[in-house]
Amino acid sequence: MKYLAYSILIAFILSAGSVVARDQDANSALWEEANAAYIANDYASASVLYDSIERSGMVSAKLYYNKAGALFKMGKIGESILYYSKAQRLAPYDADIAHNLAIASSYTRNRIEPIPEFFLKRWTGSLGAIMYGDQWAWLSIILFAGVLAGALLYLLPLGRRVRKVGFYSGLAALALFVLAFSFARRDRIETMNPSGGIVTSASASVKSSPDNSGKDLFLLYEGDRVQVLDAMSGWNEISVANGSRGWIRSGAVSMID
Amino acid sequence: MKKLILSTLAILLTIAAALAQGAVTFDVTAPTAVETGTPFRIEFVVGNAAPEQITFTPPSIEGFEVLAGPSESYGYDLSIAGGETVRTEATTYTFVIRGVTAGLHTISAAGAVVSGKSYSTRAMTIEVVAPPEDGAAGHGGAAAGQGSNYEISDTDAFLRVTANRTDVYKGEPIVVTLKLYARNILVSGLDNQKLPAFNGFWQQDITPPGDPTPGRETYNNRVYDTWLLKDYLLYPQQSGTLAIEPFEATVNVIFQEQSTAPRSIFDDFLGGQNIRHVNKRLASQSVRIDVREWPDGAPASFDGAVGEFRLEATPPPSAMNANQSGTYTLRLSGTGNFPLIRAPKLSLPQSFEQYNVTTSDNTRHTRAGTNGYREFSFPFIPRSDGLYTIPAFEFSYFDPQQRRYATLSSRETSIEVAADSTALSRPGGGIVSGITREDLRVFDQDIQFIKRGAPGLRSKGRAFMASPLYFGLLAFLAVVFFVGFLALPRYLRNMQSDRFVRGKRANKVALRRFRTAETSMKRDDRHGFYDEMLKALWGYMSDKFDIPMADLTKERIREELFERNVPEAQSLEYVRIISECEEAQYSPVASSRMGEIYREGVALISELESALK
Repeated sequence: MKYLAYSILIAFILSAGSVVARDQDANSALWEEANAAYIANDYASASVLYDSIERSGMVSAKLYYNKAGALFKMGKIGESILYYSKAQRLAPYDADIAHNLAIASSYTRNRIEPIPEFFLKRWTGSLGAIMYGDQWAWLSIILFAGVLAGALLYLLPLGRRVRKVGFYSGLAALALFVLAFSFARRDRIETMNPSGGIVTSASASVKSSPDNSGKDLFLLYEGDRVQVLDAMSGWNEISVANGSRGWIRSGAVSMID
Repeated sequence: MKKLILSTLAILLTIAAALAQGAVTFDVTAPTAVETGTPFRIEFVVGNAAPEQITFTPPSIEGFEVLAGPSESYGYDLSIAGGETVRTEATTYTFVIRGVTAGLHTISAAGAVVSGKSYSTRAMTIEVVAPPEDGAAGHGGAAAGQGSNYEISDTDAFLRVTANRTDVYKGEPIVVTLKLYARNILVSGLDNQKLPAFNGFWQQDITPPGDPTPGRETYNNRVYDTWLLKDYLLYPQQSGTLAIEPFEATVNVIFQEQSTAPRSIFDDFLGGQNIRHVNKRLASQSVRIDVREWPDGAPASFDGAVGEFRLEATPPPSAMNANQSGTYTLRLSGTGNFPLIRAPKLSLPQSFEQYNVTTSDNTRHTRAGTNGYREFSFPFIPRSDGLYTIPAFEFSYFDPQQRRYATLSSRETSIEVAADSTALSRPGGGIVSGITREDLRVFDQDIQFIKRGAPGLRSKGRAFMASPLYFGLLAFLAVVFFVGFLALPRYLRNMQSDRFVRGKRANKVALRRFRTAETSMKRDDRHGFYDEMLKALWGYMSDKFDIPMADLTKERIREELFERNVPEAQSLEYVRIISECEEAQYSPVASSRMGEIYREGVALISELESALK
């Protein structure tokens, strides 16, 4: 009886594993095929193949990067920028992505001057981008373990020196834990509710209120980056890097998710 | 003397023979346009033939009234040019005829048989026009000056500017002709010519050299004498309606003065006919030319060439040495707007040093456009060795006849450049010495190539942060902490008590070892005795102070004892006994001291035991 239960369990694990493996096999075959199409300058079919990998629910910075390249070669600058931005969200310090995003952005019509950010915000922003969310989360767990270990050293009846070391290292670990935890939390929020967007329609006017009768404030073109602040029945409130704000039709913006 | 006469005769005969030769020609001359009722002449001229040799067959002259003819005349001319005597003779058959009805009338070909060979002229078409009614009053040479007081009417003399085409594409050739028309008056000259500026055109004067070419034309049903003053080949350079400005000039006309006073007989006798010069400023109409823009869809290599071209490329040899000069030549031939074709751009490999393009031109401007060829030479010097490819050169032009673009291309050529063998021996010639550092030249920007290798896919939109696993791990760590917090103190206590017990038992262990030493002493086993003594002494300290045996030294023992306020004398004694045992263990003498050391050791341990309480 016990034997049977074990064998059923093992079979279940194996079959689940093989489903995942088959999925991965299919995706890596698609990946190779798409890359081959790109190399043969057949960007349209490369883009379609990258798309089918993405539809399977599996993504990576490399996938986004390659798809953006294919879109760029097809002349779809707005979508290309969207995918480069998606790739950059997953791999913030990749030099290739930054380079290609800069080149694709040079094809946009608007030149938006960003307003300078407070240096502390800029620093924390770039510090938070050293790793992506999951890495921060793992680091926070390790640091939590460090905090507890420090506490244990302090609380146990050991020598004075050992207790001192435990106290200070635990305190340091706690500070780092708070930092890692907040970075991981911020990344999770951005993953679950993305706020960055790229204008993907050729041009879209930004209005003062979320309806067609609102005053036209300014015009955004394909490829412009926006920050979505609020959403309301087919309209998104957005802000642009130079600080301008307004309402834009939600269909004109694609989210960097 | 006789000889001289003979030779003279021979020379004369050869001259006569030379004179007899000369090809027979047969031609017709007649005006191309006449007015009805005006008599005119048609001449059929047989060159290089005497009348007695010719059988002339007159043409059929229909639509005309023959007033006289054919009348035959003969003339010859001897000329000496370059030491050679040339004799030209001609027989002329002349008809005087008159047009009866307006229209185009044809005079058929005339025939002639000369010395058994037959010749014929071409058929002539003559336009006969009926002069307008108002012109009838002023008809006739004398009438012109009669009523008008030596004035030149607008119909008597005028200038015309004509274009052979008025609807063209940009770059298509146009011939514009400037002509003077005159009738019934005697033109003696044309001064102060103001030629049109031809704005918007590239122009080339293609007037035949020499005096203005005379002709006869009908205009508004009148026959005029014409003089072709200028012929221009024009290439429009911009699209739209372009106007050619009027051509202005002052015409000078001679009138024979007719005095109203009765002429005396002496006037005529003395040749006293008075001549009067009359000037008139004339201006032509301006001409409008509609220039069409080229159609859409021009190829990328199109640079304004219009016409019909052929391309011939002469690539450099396929094997060269570095630092050896080469030339790539492109020859463009055909018909078209050659003057407006710029030197094309040839893309040579970047390591080739390029020099200025030289252009050589061999074109002629004719009424049909410019034809010939234009050659572009691209000199270069390859600076480093390798296999290079010169891409196919493309040249596009617009064909206005077929209204489409055509593209010519040369073949792609590859050049293998061998390393410069003389580079090192020649001062300053090699790559090594002649190197100049340059900034990296960026020609264009493009995105980086795609990333390959494993894609590293992960599930989208899933974060480890704040997931059940994350909190689970935190909770697990917390549990581990609490378990540790609760369990560890007791464990630590146990550990400490273990150490305490060992310290307590140190004396017992030492005493047991002393007893073993005592038995060894009784058996007189010297080695065993000292061994057991050392074990007891070292072991006691190790157990007492919880120091591993390996870390224990005599110094360490003294320090530990000093820390615990044991008198200096006792610690020195302890160390001394250890040293003595160590020495005695391997020395053959001093066996008698065994009992003494045993007693001292036992006494010292019991002393220390009470001191370390």
